[in-house]
Amino acid sequence: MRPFVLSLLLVLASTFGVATGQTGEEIDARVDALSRSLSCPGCDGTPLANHAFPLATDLKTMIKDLVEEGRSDLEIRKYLYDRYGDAMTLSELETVSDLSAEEIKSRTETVSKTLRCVVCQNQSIYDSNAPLAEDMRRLVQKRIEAGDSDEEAREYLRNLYGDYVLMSPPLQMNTILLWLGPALLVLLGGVWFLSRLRAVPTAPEAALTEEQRARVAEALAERDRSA
Amino acid sequence: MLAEIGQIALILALLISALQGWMGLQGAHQNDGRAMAFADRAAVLQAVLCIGAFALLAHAFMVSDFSVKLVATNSHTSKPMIYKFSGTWGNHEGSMLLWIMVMALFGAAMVWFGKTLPSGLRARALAIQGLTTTGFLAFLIFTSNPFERLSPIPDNGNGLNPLLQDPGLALHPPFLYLGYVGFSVAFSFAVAALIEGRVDAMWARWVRPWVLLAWSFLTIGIVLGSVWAYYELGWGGWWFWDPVENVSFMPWLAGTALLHSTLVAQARGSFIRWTLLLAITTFSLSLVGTFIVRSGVLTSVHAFAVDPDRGVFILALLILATGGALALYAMRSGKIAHGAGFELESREAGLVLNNILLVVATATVFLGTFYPLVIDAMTGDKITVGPPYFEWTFGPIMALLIVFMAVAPLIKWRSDTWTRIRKTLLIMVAASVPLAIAVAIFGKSVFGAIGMGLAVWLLIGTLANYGRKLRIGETKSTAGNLLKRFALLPGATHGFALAHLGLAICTVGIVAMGTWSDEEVDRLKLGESISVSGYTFTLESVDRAQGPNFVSETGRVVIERGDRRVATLNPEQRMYPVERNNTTEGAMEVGALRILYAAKGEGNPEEGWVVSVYYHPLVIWIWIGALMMAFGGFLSIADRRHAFSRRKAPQPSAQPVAAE
Amino acid sequence: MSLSRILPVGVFLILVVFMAIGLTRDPSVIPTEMIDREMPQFELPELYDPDIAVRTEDLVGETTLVNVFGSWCVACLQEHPTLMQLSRDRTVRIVGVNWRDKREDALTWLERHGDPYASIIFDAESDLVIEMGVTGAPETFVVDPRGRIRYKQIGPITPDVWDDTIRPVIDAIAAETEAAS
Repeated sequence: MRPFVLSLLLVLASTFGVATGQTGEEIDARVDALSRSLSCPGCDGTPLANHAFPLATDLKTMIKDLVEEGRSDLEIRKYLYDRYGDAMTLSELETVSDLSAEEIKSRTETVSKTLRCVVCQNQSIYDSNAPLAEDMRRLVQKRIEAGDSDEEAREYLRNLYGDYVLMSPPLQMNTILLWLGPALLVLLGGVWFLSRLRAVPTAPEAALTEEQRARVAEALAERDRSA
Repeated sequence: MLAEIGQIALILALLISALQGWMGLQGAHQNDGRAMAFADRAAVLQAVLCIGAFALLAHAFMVSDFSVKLVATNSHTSKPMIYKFSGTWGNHEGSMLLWIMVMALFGAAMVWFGKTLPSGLRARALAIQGLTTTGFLAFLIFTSNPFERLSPIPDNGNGLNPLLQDPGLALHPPFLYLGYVGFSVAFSFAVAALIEGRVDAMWARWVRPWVLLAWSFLTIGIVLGSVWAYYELGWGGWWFWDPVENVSFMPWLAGTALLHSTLVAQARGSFIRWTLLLAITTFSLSLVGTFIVRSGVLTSVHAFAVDPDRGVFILALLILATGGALALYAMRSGKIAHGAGFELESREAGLVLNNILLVVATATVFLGTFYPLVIDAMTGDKITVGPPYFEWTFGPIMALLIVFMAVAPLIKWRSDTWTRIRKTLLIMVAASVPLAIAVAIFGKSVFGAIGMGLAVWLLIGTLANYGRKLRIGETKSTAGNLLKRFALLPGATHGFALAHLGLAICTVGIVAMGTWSDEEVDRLKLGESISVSGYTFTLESVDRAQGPNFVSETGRVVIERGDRRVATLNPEQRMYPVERNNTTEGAMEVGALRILYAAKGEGNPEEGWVVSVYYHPLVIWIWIGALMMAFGGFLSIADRRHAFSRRKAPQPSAQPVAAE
Repeated sequence: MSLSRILPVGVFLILVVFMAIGLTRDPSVIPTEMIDREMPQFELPELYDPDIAVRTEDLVGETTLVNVFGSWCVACLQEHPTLMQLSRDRTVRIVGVNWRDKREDALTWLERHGDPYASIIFDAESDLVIEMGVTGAPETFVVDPRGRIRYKQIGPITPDVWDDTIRPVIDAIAAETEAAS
């Protein structure tokens, strides 16, 4: 029953366009992202966003309408694909990377070493021979060739697999204890060490405390009993 | 029939070990000599039964008796005999039986070497040892019966994981268990002492040789595992901070702390409570390791086939053993003398620092190993705690430890002055600081500089100390003179020097590997080559061949440096048809200063083969250093001050032990 | 003073609790990040005819099970009868992702065991599979008509899994869609 009510609410909301819970900014951002990832028909595979002639503007308006209707990005793509076919497919950006092959290789290596192979459990994708690890390495290389920084390439995979894929856990709320724990323990140990130092009288014959006296008495009594 | 006899032997061992526990405790409580003597005999009988059961299982493996289910699932007739034998412990049930056999052997050894012990303490320690063994025997018999029959009897077995068909790994578990389980003796002595409510320096002297023995075996076990992982897994690393490695490392670290705290306890009669706690902790960490490896709570490259029921059982054992011991500690440790404090300029202070750092190091490894489990349990998030974490946290703690461990042995017990050792310290600084600077300049690495500086710091500090003990320079030092003094030094002094030098050498290896190792992976067609650190690796040919129970593809890789041919390697990839598994057999050229390593992956003549090549400087120093530590441990056992031998032990003195 | 004596047993008990909880969990199952995300963009060849391209857009419009499988995958065989049954009953559209396979092997496998798929995406180099955060086969994604991933099943779909977890998700999606039209 509950999913039904929920979805009813959702649909009611979506019929009122903007009332889908999207702000104007969000809508613009989505339209922008979509028109960047789509080509305009007959523009030599350049993004729709780059153009402002009548057809391009019309297409953008159409996308905006669809977004406001509450269609998902994929539904909009499908809508356009059904009408224009491959004409609007943006061929993969050919990034003319100014990185040398060597640089790409060494950066791929660096990034791969920090990512965990998700099928082998305790190896980085660099170390692993698993097919998936190999493919993930290739993806990392592709991201780097496409101009990602090391951090961006890492983030790309983290976005797909979560924190799990990072060999070194990021410092965040749920890992604070992990990262600070050892330092805290060293500190604690140090404090304890110093406290033990001060507690010691320099002369071994120094007077016993009340507590120590009691313990000595107890120990002696114990010895008598067991003897 | 034989399998049933093995089964009966195990059941008898279970009954006897339970009786051993009961009679030992009762006998000691009522001072009943006959009951205590029974515990003695029970310990020996139990050991005999466990050896018998193990031998019968090994026999079943060696004759390929596939009517025994364990043999059918883990062995195969085409396997070489040696791996049929080692296959006995290449599986959960068999390795558990090995564990139990080792534990029972240690129990019997406690009887043989404990003749001079106070009868009450010995009976109680034997009782605890017996009860712990009872728990493991029950675990084996009720959840993992190795002698279960199989019907119908298959024509052949399923084989053994090819990764395990290796001499290194055949020996790895026995040594590891001698270590893990060896710590049970210290545990039993600690619990017995808590029951008695009385511990003194003498107690520490009883326990220390057992700790040394277990620790040395564990060290060897870890080295074997590391060497195996290095050449068999073919990822070019010697330590991966894998959960299973970590759980073997934690008892080692805690055991190292225990080793040093017994020194304070036996020499100064202080830190007894702490030592008891460490003895309990060390063995408990071995139990935790068993839990981890056999329950599957953490994923690892080399966990056993997992079964949550087994996990529940081991957890219950852990609660009984560790929980019981710690509860006893909470109740009884108040009775145990607190011991004297210490001054900053004293050997004690150094050993206390050693203990603090080692315990923090243990806790850090524990934290990193268990954190994913804790976070998963609390929030459901999955995270990975990989090697970088340990390098950043464990590394600095170890560095700090090395700083102190080079100095502490130079200081006298009780009280000393800095001026006495100032000259030595200056020499140590004069040697290590310029070296560190040189490494920083020529090796271009800050990490390398710090690491090498520390290693030399430790090396010089240890040698200086050894030199002092030999009184080099103090009196006339002719060769004969020195030899005489050398022979007269107590075993512990030689052991100390060997172990500490071992760590220095190990550190050199670790730092060199961490700083200057080099690797390259590429797809090579025949005749193509890759270079690392000045070495050129050329793939000349690839041949297929048939092994006893595998098909192999072997590459011929020629290594040249400049125009000079250094070596020819034959890295291999094996396909085991029965086990449906591939292994990579890397090939290496081992030198004192470096290992050149090549591994060949999949490929074909058209596209080439994936070839990984490595340049690993000083990597064998890591293992040599670690083995030196282990032998240092063995040497220390032979120390005449120990109560290990049957000779009359010296009485504990209130005075600091001489000869230091 | 007594605190220092109780502390060890206290710490131990806390650890025991975590170890006990740990026993109830499977560490190899990694939760997916993909829920409520749209299917990633892809354009890959069809298994039967490499000249036909399958695109993300083709998944839109109908609730779809996207099932990652391979002829090398043993557990896939285990769920195969269930998928065949679903296909015979026309319960839901099933699109296969043939992962890291050889074309001939996959075709032989399908011939032998039957083909429950409306279409099969041939993903030889994990292009799509990584974008979906897949860690192994079989894995099955429930994708709603808008192209959004609603659920991910790790491991084989047994009849029980179908009845208890996947069917309710599909029913919920159907209810939404019905309400929308």
